[in-house]
Amino acid sequence: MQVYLDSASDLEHDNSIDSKIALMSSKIMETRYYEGCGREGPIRCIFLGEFHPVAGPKISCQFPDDYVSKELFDSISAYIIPKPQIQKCTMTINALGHKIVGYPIRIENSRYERNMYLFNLCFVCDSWSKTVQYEPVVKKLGEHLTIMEEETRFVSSGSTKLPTLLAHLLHDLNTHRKATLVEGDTVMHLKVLEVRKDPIAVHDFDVPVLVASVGLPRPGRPPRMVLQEGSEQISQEHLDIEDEEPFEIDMDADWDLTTRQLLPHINGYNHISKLASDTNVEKTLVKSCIQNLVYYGVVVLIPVLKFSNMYRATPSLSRLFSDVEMQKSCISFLSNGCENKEKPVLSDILGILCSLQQGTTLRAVCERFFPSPGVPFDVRRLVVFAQIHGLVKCLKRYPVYVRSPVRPNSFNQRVDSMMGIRRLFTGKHNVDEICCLARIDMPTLDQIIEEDPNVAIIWR
Amino acid sequence: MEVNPLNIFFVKSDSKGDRLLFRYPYTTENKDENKQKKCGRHNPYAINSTEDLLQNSQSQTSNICKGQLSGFTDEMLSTLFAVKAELCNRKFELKVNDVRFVGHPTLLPYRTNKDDTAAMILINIVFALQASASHSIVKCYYDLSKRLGKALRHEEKRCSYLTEEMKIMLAAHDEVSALDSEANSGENEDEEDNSRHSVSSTTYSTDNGTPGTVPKSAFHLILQRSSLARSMKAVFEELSSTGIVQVRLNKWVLLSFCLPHKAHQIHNRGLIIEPETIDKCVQKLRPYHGILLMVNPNDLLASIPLDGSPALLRLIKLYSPLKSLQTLAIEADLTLTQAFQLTGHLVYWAKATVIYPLCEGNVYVVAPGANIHINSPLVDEFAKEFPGLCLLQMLSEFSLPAPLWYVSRGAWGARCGGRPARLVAWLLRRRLLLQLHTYVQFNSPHCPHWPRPSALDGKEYFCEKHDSYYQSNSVSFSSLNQVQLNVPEPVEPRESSNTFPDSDEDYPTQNNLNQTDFSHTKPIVIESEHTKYDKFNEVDSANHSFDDGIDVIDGIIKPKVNGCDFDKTQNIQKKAQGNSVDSGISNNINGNSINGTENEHGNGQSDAKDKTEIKSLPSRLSDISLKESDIVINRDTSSDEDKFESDVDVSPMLRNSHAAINGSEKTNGVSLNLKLQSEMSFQSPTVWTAPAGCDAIDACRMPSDPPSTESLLDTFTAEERAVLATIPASEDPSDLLLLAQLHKKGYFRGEQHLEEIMFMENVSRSQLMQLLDKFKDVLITFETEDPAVAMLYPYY
Repeated sequence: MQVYLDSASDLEHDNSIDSKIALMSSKIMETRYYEGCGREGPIRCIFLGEFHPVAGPKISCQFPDDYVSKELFDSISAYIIPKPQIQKCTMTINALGHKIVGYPIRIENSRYERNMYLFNLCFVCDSWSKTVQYEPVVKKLGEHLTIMEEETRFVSSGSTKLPTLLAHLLHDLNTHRKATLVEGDTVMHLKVLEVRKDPIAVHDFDVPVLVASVGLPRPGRPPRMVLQEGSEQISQEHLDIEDEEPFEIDMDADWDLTTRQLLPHINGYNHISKLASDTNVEKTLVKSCIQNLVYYGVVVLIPVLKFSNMYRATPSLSRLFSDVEMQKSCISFLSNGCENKEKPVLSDILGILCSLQQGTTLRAVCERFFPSPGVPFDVRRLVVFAQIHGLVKCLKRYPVYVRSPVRPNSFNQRVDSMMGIRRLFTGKHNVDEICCLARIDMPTLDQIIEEDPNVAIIWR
Repeated sequence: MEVNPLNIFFVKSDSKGDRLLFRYPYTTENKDENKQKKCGRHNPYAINSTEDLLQNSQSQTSNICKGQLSGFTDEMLSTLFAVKAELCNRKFELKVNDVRFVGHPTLLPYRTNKDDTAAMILINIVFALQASASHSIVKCYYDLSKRLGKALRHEEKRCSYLTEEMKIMLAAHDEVSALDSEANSGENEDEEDNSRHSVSSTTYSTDNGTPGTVPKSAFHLILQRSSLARSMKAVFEELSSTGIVQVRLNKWVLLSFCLPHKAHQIHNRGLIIEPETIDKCVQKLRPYHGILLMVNPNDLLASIPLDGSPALLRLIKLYSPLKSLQTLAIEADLTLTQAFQLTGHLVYWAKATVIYPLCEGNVYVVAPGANIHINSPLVDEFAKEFPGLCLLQMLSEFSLPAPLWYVSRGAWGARCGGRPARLVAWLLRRRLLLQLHTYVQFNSPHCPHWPRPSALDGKEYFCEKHDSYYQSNSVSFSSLNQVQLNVPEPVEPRESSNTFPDSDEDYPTQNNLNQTDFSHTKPIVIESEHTKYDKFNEVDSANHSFDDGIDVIDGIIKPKVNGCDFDKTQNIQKKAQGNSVDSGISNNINGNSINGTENEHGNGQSDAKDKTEIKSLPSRLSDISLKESDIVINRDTSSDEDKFESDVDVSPMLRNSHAAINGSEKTNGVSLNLKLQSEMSFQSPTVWTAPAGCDAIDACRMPSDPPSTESLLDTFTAEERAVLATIPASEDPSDLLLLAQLHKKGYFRGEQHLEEIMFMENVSRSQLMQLLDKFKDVLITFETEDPAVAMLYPYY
């Protein structure tokens, strides 16, 4: 199941953010672009290369004109118009400061002078930029051009429409990241899809949280730079969309049915199994839906919040001490949850986060900080916030079966279930996982672990 | 594994055209493809789906088949890799579908067979990688290709090695193609075209039906005959197995290469460390870090080539996981920077990792990425290494953080012979344990505005002791100085002075300058400050730089000073440590602390004067200030160098504060005078730019509105001071002083761990722990890993 998000509005949002970021001085921008920086860049030029029966490989049309010089083309022509054996594969050559993505095509037909026609529509980008995202576009364009060539000799006849078509294409793809070309009967819809990292597997015991719910600053981003004076707007660079930019989520948007059903239940506490049972949706369906949302950065996964959990600070906790923006968003996130009149005090928040140490359960911390029933804010929300921002990490508990002489066990009536469960004590599964797999609750599992002297607990 | 190479190719291109001379591995898929085609043809029920009208679906999207490169004939590849001259001697990167080819085409003069006229030949050693391989992997392979090219060029120049090897390869190709054409003539007419393209890589095995022909490919022959081909095979295989390549080309040129992404997996499966990470780690290294060798030091020494750096050898000989890099550097007679670089080198080659030196107070927990599977090979290894102990049990003991001495008191402590270091080292090497450090944050419960939005990074000024950091610091300092100091004039000379070389000869004259200045200023000074001033002078009296006349006052104050044991001990410690380290560093340390104390003076005074709303504190503060000045005395008399330095450093700060105070209360004329003074005196600190800059920064950090801000306790806001006053521990001035000092230097912002504070400020752990305990209402701590160390862990 694949859900395509309506990203038009997202894109605008992204652009607004980007324009803010683009206010940074151009020097900073410069240093961000180096080979291997992993950023996307704009298309600098689109050209059509073909094999001329007399002149050999040449550029028959390009926009903007003369971007790819004759010399450059000659030195790389072997990769634009390769030997006839290589065709219909995306080829990217990175040479002389340009990165050229092409999809060489050969059409065999006796109407051509050499009984075949070779051409290749190529995108030219900067050598530092990532170009994977253009590959499907180039390929689709190539396939369509093949059909048009076969039908109307659109390409080989040197159509006058071609230059405008390329110009259109370049402009639309760079500014809107999508383009629609109409040529005769052929309509081409092209869209540049961002290639992200493969999403991690979603487990029964994972808890999805909406990233947008915590507001700015975005989790996983460095603190915003202080704006510097004398910053100029960067012309085309703003196209460079931040990697892994999370999508702003609109509950009323045109989601697919599953997502629409699930979204109201995603609150940062419900794990996948619970989501599935609450919404009466099949679990695998829920998983793939959530995985899809993870892919687009709409949600992140955190472990189930239990008061027996232990958490440990990460080095980024110090950011909360100094980043005012994050402090604000933390406080507003906390006060969102409960309709409390007074806002939580920052020093309390920090105190709680710092006392969440390995060796102290969440329950112990709560008892220490909120001895009286009047709780100023919801600790659970704080923990969720801190986890999304990577300020603390949840430690997982792994029961491992230590091989040592088996001692007689007093609880014979439960031997069967225990043997079954003990097979899971391999160090591969944490307690959450085991509970889900064996369908038992935590106290039972705790008891089993406690009663068995051969089981050791490793917190990791 | 995207780290592994798919294939290695050797292509030449000269006047006779291009040719794929060798590739490894060469067991080809052509045969399979042919078979598949045949199968397809023979299957009567197969639908012939070539006529797909909508989309020609023949297009191939993947060129990797079962981990092997597929879909390219040798001829195709040779045309692709024989680049035009414009692309020579630079990076060649071509991506076809999901395969990325990377190489460094090398153009080199080459002697043709018959005559000795030199012609140019292009050789290209290309690696095929998965396209998903990260850029840093590609870069490493490119580097390897470049090195191979260079080595070949050298060998060609030296003894025409390349010419000879190419002759062998070409001969083998010709031989096989001759055999081929014989065997092929008559049968397989239709496939002749195909086999001509791929003839060299086709293995004719049993099913081909020609019993007479020898089942061999040209590449097989080449591998037998050519040493270059064997070297390339070795390169490929070492890359796939360990990531460390040690190949001697033509038994002459040693090619050592390391692919760190792969090499670290020798010791830790699944651990991918990119060179960029190592660079970052080296930048974050501090003198208190240590190294832990992954291999036996003796083996490592033996594996280093004869022309290896003697510095590296010394470092390894003196290596111990208990020593810090600073100690190692001193013992091995290296600069700290050198030690850092050597560390980076060792880490790159997967011979070492960065740790905090092992000691009993360290707190370890199970690392997040640790392999704790009960059937992992580590369990058995551990049992072999430490008989009687169980790895998993051990790890479960490390599940809750506790100092090592505490953990080792447990059951296993006795069994490993009371020497847990070996065991911990073993666990650290496998990245099973991760050390936690304590970070401190100043968090006063009642002030909402404690996080001052400061543009400064705390990291910028705690490292000023080390020469290697001077430069970067001075830059940032200078920019800051101008903005925030109340007295802007003196700053500039200081800035410019940063560039001066260290020259000890300058002192005396400058001291004289100070002296003269001082005598001028004396009468101007306000009374209350007079005393302090005098103390100062007294300090310096040994130094001859200041007046002797004030001794009387000193005499009064001294006993108090001595009464303060705490300070004394601290002082002694500092001295001792300072001496053990090279003197430059110790000087700076003292300089720092002294500056801090000096600020304290001003502060106390100003507080007292201003009569701020806090009534309990000021009096105490003034006490502190008195005592502190005595500390200064002690320090200064300790060694001559120290004296000098402290004088020089102290006076400007003092004057600064004076200037500020005077500015508010006295006439302009006075402050002008002071400015002049300070301007002159600022000339002297050239040698200790960093401490000076540090002070400047600290001064800057304080709120700038009141003129008397350059004082120590002003690092706390009024609310914070109010809170501090309620804490019983602040009754003890020495504690309060230490707190204020450390806070002022930015150690309580959750960015530096205790060990760092201990190292940088020369305080003992117990002192810090006491401080934390006494001020636990305002100091909160959290435990987490040291990023520089954790960087080298998997899944970090």
